[in-house]
Amino acid sequence: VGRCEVGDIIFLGIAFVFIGLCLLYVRAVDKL
Amino acid sequence: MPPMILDIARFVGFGVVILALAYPLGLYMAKVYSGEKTWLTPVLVPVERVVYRVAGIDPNEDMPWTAYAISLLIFNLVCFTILYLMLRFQGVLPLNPQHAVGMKPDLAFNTAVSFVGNTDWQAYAGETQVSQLTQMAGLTWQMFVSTAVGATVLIALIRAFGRKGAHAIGNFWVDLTRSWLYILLPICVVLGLVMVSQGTVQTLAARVSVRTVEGATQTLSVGPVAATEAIKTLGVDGGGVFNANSAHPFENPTPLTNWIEMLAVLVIPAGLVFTFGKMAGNMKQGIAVFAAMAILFAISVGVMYGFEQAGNPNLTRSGVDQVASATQSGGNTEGKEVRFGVAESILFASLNTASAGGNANASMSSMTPISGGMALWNLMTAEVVFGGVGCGLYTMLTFALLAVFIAGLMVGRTPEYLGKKIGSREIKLAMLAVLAMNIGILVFTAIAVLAPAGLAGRLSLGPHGLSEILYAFTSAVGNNGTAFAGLNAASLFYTTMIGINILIGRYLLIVPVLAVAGSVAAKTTLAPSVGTFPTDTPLFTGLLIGVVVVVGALTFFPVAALGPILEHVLMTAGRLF
Repeated sequence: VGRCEVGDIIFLGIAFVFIGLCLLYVRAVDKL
Repeated sequence: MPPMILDIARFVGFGVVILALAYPLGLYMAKVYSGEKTWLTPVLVPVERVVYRVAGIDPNEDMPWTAYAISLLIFNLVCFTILYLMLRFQGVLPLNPQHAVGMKPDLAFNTAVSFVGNTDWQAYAGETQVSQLTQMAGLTWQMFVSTAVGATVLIALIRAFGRKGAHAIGNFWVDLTRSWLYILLPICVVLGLVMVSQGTVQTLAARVSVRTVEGATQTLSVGPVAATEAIKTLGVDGGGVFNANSAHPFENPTPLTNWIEMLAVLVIPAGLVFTFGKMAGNMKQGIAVFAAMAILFAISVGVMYGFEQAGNPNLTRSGVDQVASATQSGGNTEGKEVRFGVAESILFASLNTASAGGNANASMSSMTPISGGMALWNLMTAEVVFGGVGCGLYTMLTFALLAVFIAGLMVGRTPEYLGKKIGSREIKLAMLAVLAMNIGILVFTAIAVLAPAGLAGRLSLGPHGLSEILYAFTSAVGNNGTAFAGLNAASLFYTTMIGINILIGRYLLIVPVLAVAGSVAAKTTLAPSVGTFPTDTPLFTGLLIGVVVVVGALTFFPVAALGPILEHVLMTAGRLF
């Protein structure tokens, strides 16, 4: 309880990478 | 009066009441999003101004679709991070009378993604694993915000159709603020109080000890249920305080609350169709779409009711009387609350799968295979039968673009919708949205049935086990949140896979839909001509239904044949799962 784990980096990373990819997707779709 | 006639009268009555509530609400919402004066404006405008000032928002800024989408994505990422940290560290945060410990990282990820993505899929038991602070300031707050986000995308799309040669589609922050401040919050205050008056609990305490009629002492879980229940249903969210959701008597204590919950689930999505008609400047356009949704909904209720009322043929062969009569409701009552019976369980299940409701007052897994399959079908057709707040209609409008395109191909007319010429760019974008959902369902289900960790989560074998897995991913990608029951969704495999699936279903649909908005806003509006295919007629309603059904049927029929359809055939042959 109250401690960071490796899993935090993994799962926060999944969300950040996914939204980051979505931001790139916005750019790609805009050029479609 | 025969029980079936009473049930049909109940369904028709529900339709009439929802229509009577949705139409005026739709007109009110059109005023809110158009910035016109409403009866709440004098009270709420000062609050709205304070929100903009504190948040540093310029309400007059008009955003291109890219800026609108980027604002939405960044806002959602911030919401996710806050909720994730709250779930992880709730054990050391205040307002934790149940002494809930922090969730494991994978479960916190799954839950945070689920509530930020308006899915409210629950792989946890709320009464034991969530503190009051997390419930109120985390989950319930996200129900307001994620619902409002869905509405912003729809309103941006509708607004774009009304613009000519514009490079912008509105202001995300203004649409977001107006959604929760003018629509969700006022109705939820009233709804919450009505729920309390009916016996829905509302307290900061975690448990209460009561003396039973036998004289024993029993400890019951309680919490801020009524407030959650209001937005849980109105926002078409579905994440209940209790694991049993709306089957729990503290969430849904009376037949009246059951009706109120059903009405609350459908009133905004149905109302938004009239908002669309009003803002499009032609109410017939809204009525044409509403009619398509209503017909699909009636088919869903009719099929589910018919099969549930017929019951299990194996029981009939064993001499069990399943026929409705003056002394019994009849039908398949397994997994259903006796308080609600077959009819209200079916209506509840149908409207919560046709919309993105995610609420449940009965077990889907206990339904007959075709009824369970119909609920699955509702999810597979992208929950366009009213759908979630905003997301149902913007997905239906995506299908409408495909419908006019197909009609154009068939009769040689230039595809037009609401005065906008629909070109290859809009169709490509619409297909990107449709394909994202299909990939999310089929690819993820295929991985789960091939992976040992995926198969280990099943409770049942055979076609019913496939339905459990298929339903989970269909519910997740459709941002619905109902569970089929049976599947152990709390394993690392499913928390991760379902979490990613929710992200795909939410954001890989929103981005192309906003791109369509940007595209049509930039176009000029054409006057109707003899070459225009009218989209406010019964013919278009039929075409729209056809496109929704065919896209669903062609894409998902093979997997449905291996799941609920095969299970039905085996059930009639005497084999149960």
